[in-house]
Amino acid sequence: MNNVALLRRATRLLLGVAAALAFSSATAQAACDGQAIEHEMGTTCVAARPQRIVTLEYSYADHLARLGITPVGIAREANIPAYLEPYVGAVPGVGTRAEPNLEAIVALRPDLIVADLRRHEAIYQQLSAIAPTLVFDSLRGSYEDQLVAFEKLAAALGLSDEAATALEQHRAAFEQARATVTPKAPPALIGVLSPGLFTAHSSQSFMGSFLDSLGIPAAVEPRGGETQFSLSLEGVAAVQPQALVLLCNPADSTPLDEWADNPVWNALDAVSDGRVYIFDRDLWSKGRGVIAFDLILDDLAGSGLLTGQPSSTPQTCQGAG
Amino acid sequence: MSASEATRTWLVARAGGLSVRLPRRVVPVAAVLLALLVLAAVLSTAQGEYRIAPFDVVKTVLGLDTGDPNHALVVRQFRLPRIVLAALVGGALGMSGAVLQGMTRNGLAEPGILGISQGAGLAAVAFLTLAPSAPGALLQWVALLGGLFTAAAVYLLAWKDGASPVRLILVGIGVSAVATALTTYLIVLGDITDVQRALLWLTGSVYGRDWEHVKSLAIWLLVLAPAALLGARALNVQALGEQAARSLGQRVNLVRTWLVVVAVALACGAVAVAGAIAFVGLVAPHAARRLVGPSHEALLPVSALLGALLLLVADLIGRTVIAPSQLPVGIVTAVVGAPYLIYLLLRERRS
Amino acid sequence: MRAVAGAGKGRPQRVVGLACAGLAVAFLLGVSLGVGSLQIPLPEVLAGLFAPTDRLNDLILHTVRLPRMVAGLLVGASLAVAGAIMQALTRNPLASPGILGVNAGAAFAVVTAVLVLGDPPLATYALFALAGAGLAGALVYGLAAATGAAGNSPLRLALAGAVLAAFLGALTTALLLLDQNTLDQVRFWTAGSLAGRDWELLRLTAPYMLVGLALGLPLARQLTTLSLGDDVARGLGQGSAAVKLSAAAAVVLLAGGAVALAGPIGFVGLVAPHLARFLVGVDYRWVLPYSALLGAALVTVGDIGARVALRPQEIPVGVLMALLGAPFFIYLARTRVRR
Repeated sequence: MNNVALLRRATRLLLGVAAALAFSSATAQAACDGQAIEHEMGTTCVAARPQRIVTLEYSYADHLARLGITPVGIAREANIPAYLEPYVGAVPGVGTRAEPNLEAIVALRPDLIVADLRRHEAIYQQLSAIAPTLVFDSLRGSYEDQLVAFEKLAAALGLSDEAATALEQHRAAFEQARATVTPKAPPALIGVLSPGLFTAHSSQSFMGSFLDSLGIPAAVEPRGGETQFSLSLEGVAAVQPQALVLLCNPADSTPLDEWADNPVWNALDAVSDGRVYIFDRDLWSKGRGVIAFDLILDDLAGSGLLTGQPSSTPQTCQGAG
Repeated sequence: MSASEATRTWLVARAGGLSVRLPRRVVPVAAVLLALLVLAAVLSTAQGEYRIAPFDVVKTVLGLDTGDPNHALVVRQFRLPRIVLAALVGGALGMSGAVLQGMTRNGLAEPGILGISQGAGLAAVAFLTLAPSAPGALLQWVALLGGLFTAAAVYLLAWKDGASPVRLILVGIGVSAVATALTTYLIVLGDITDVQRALLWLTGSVYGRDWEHVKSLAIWLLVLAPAALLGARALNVQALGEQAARSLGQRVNLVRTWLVVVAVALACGAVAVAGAIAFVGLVAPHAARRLVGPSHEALLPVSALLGALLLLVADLIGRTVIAPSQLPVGIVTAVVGAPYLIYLLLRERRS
Repeated sequence: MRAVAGAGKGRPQRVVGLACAGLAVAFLLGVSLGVGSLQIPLPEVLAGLFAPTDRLNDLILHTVRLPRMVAGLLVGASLAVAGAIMQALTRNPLASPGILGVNAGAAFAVVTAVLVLGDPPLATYALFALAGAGLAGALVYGLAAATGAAGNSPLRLALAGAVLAAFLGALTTALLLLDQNTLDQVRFWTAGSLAGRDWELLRLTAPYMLVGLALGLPLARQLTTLSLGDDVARGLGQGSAAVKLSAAAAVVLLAGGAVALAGPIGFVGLVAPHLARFLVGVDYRWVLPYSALLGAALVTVGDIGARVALRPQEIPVGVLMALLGAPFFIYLARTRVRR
């Protein structure tokens, strides 16, 4: 390359033509010689049998683990859901789920990236420039949406048969759990306990829909267009639930710590009847993968919630982990 | 001031009927700032999770092949747009702040006081929490409209036989309080993941921005920066006070409206692409005034340069200090900017 | 600058007025006890108040609504008196704990404490809030003094307060962003709310506010003199540093205690003293008690609104107060600030 050409290129760059260069590599329109996968952002061609996968939501790491595959990088916060620790605890992080580090992803030289619609829509172009990127609605998707994402992810990896077996097992376990639900089991008020806040979930939220499809209806309807909303102790009392399903993290101090000593709390039917079922919040809400679903079913099986028995779960958040 | 002193401290450029008087200091100061800006940009371009040898960075920027196709991707599509955008956003905020401080004759005025950040913030948070399924590309337009609408509301509410700077500021504080309260309400009741996205936006961040963002802001600034510079002389007259300005024949209300529109538009453009970044618009003009004095012909460009430099360095810090995770640039500017502002104010007080 | 509508009224009218305001507050408190996610009719409220049974309604009355009612009463009175004192001290009609960033300082201190210490004991919240309120107040005053050259004093103070509040707000947001657990823990609190305030928290924070009131109310005569200007005060041999210092201490105790209990609630401290002066003129011996009652009434009304507007969900009362108070602030800015 001679000096004139070099100068011309530099000048072009300074003039800001660089903008036009952007994404030129992202729009390669070759015929697909691997798997063409349909997803939230269109159809993407994934090379046959991708080996180096980066996941940007916990649910995808869960899905991959169920298929026996370890990603080369995951977006994660300092603490990941405890049940995922054995599968991906040692996998390098690529920044947080909210703002994954693009360069860290490039450095891993992935051949497939799996991203979330809500969180990563804005950086889809950049991700696609790094590697073929599949986008599913993990954050807001229903229980069924997560299973569809699992099937599509498996198809991209050429593991559809394995996925079908896993799904069959999961659905069998789900039906088995559903069969144990007795008409005696009352509607439950589902509450996520975070520090200082009790958030009630209707059957439209992810957790509400999971329990609802098992046959445990939610005790509250969506209000003002919100599928989940906060309630004070008095608000809980106004619902007067027959059963309470509470989700919390052992490390948090939650309203339950204060309410446990409160006469109002102890006067609730659900409390005096011993129908307070406490489970691990991370497992129930952050995982959203097939392994998590199976573990939730395990949690439920022994709890008494489905069979209309009094609770046999620990009665504090500290015991829920 | 004698004639010879005047030529020593002032630089006069004439072109046709227009003449621009600049303090002589502005040339070396601007040159040094520009050099620093380039240096920061180079350092920032060479810095990142993906290791690239400095020479390869230079080659990639110049469009030469380095043998690793990832170099072009990382440098040209990830690092450069982010760096250029940070500089543009900082420049816009710095200049907007300088115009507002000059017009209100108050060193604490900044784009936030006209409710721009809070109004844009409310619009963006409402968008994120109430319509989480809407396409994310709309966010910057929603924020832009929110900021412009709020500023217009402040201006109209403050208008009473003219646009008094004092009333503008006070009404701005009141309107901002309403916007902040509503934002808080949305944040309290929103789903925690939507809320996190909203907070990220409220803090201000240039994460994941591409050339499209750069292009839209650059066009915006190409129109507005000259418009602001045209107002420099009017700002100098405003600095003498309302009475003096009137007696010099200035149409005070018209000029103020013009200046507010320009300042608001500058800040709104920046806020729309990068979120509500705090303190750049406040600190940059202060530092600029210390460097080149109160003449707005010099103050406006130097404020823009300082704002650009500040944001560029802040983003470099945010990008590297807890890698591979990143701090939003707005956190860094708030943490660095506020103590610096207090320091500046204390020095001004003493001198 | 100040309303003098009530200045000519005699002592009897003011006493009657005070009694009426007291009755109005008592009535509001009764309504506040009856209203909530669960409706409890007034006769049942009275019966449950004096002869409690073990039924759910009575339990809610005694463990949820009574402490909440008392909290509203105290917070409203404290913020209003703090605002009145600040307006006298600074001779600035726009001064109040919210506008001058004192609330933001207290809130920031608490958020920082939660983030750094993890889960500090409830008892220490008030101490952090007091420290934050004091520091923020001093800083705003310093900032305003340091930017002296141009503009009038009400503007400088208000702007310094707005800048400090914006800065602390940005920092608070930043801290919350770094740590989702803290975000969970304090996001409801930072909005300003009386929900879930129990006797325990009241016991820990009420003393600060009561001491603040005990310190502030007796200063009424000196505050009247101070509010008329330093020259007058000096001429009368008052306005000594001691008076100003104890008035400032009262403000910190009142605002810090209120924030520790309810989170930052704005505009009460601005609106109530103005209403009080509109009713009784410039004599702080009347302005202070009227402010206290009006502040208590404002917060109680706001809290009732917060509970019924979107039942059973609750709006933070701080949000409602801003929506009610900010237009008043804008009105003041348009009418009371010259130029």
